[in-house]
Amino acid sequence: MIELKQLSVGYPGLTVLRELDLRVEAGEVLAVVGPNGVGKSTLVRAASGALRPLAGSVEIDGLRLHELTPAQRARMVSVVPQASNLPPAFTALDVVILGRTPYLGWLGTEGELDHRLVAEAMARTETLGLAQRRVGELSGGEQQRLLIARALAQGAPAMLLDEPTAHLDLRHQDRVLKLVRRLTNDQGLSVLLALHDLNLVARFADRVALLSDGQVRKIGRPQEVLTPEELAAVYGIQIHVMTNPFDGKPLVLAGD
Amino acid sequence: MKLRRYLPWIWTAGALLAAGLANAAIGAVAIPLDMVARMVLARLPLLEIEANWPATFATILYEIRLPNLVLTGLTGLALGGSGAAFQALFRNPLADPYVIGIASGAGLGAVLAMALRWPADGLGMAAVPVAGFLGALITVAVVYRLSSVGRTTPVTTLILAGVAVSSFATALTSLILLLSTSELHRAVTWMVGGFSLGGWAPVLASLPYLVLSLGVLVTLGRPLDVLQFGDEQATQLGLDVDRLKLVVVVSASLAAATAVSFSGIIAFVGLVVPHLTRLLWGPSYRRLIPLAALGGASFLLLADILARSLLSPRELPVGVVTSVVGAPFFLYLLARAKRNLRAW
Repeated sequence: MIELKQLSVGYPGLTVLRELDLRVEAGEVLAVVGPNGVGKSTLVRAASGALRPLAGSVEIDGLRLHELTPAQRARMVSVVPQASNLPPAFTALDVVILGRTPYLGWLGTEGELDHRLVAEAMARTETLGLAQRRVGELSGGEQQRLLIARALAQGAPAMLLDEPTAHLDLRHQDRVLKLVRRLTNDQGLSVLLALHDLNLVARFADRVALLSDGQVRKIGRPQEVLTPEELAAVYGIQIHVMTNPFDGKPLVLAGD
Repeated sequence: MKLRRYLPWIWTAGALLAAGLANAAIGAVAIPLDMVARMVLARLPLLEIEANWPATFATILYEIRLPNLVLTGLTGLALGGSGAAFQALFRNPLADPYVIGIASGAGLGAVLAMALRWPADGLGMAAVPVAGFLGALITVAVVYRLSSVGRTTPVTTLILAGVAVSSFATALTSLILLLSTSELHRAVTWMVGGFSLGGWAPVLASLPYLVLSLGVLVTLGRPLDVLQFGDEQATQLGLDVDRLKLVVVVSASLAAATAVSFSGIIAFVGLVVPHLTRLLWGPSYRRLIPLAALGGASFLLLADILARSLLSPRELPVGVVTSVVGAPFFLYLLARAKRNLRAW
């Protein structure tokens, strides 16, 4: 369970999120949406502990993140960043194995357990076949699955994903988010997902939090939050919402 | 499979052994390789080897070439290892103790200590690297400050800051050398990278610093691998990034400063060797730091042979040789970097 309690976050001279409350249950995918610059990425950074809150707290399963060491934090929450600028000459296995960092310390080397968990994480993300390939040779979708494998290898109960489908084509968007969905269901992870694409959000998220002005404007199931009125108010353009004929979820269309 | 894992070490150690033997054998007086090997083994305990070599060989090898060889090798170890560590730290394959100005900073510190006559006795000699170390630390702090843009260290600002700080330190060093009347010649030779101190004293004085600094660096390969994904991801993977950077800066600066203090400013070893090592054996710093250190020793031993034989009987400073090899290599890397600037 991820809990953001009265969380205020920002950078010098700029408060991005103000007294924000949010809660992600185990086994749930919660998507954070909102226009550019509203603070989705900042929210992820704060929830990972990489950014210290100005006020309030982030708790994972009841532990206050900012009272923990980096290694302790990384055992509680893993982060899947956008796949860009990865060291190109590392092999896929080199990348995933670094997920075991919070259990090893500076001088440690991986043991049998670590290797087994890494192989498991790679099997679950269908990256085992890529193990000896260099990262620079992999496609965007493969790199993204690799980063999910690395996060899985961390063995943390909470997982944060920041725009994991950016730069991916339709097929790979689908594949990555189905994977996230499956992992959440199978392992009971608490998943916080920052995502631009509202239609993907509608398909894959259990709940949606719509951010506006540094706060959660509305939170609930996709059909409750992704309404023309709410979206028009936040994005500032006219928006139509229809029912997707294939899965009955909301389908968002922009424009006049 | 097992053998494959050890292959990099076997090749690198083999190259070092060959470079070492060649360095001992080649010179104004050539000593046959097999005799070099027997003469070295004779000095090891528990081995009974009949001394059937001329007395001149013994003098040349034991009193001139071996101390020079060991100091050259240690200097190469320090430059290769610290070069790899700086590249990991700055996440930039063009970082090298010379390019980023740390060598010049260390040189300034060391020359200042010499001008103040620290190395008048044995203890003083061990104090020179401390002064060089302080100079290196100040330089790295300034360069890092100047070249950081937000959370990254772009290659252009890094090199510009390195050049500026390096020129400043070199100018101050020249000033000190000009103002100090005695031993000017020796100091100038030292500055361009000649091993002119001679004997075993510099070897013994540098050993503790190198054991300490390189010993720390070779254990940090795994966290440095994590750091290659950027500060934020490294933090999220559980690394105490600030502490790691501090330890790496201090250790790598100490190694580089020790090399500079006893062997002068030798450019580009820390650039060329880690790069070649990366091409041969992959980018993981777990292997790269120790392999680049060993490779640095081989590289410098070979450069030293050239320095002593190219204009024989005159000896060139070894720094001249490494620069002649290294500067074009640096330019080649820079030209390639222009194409991949986005990746940095």
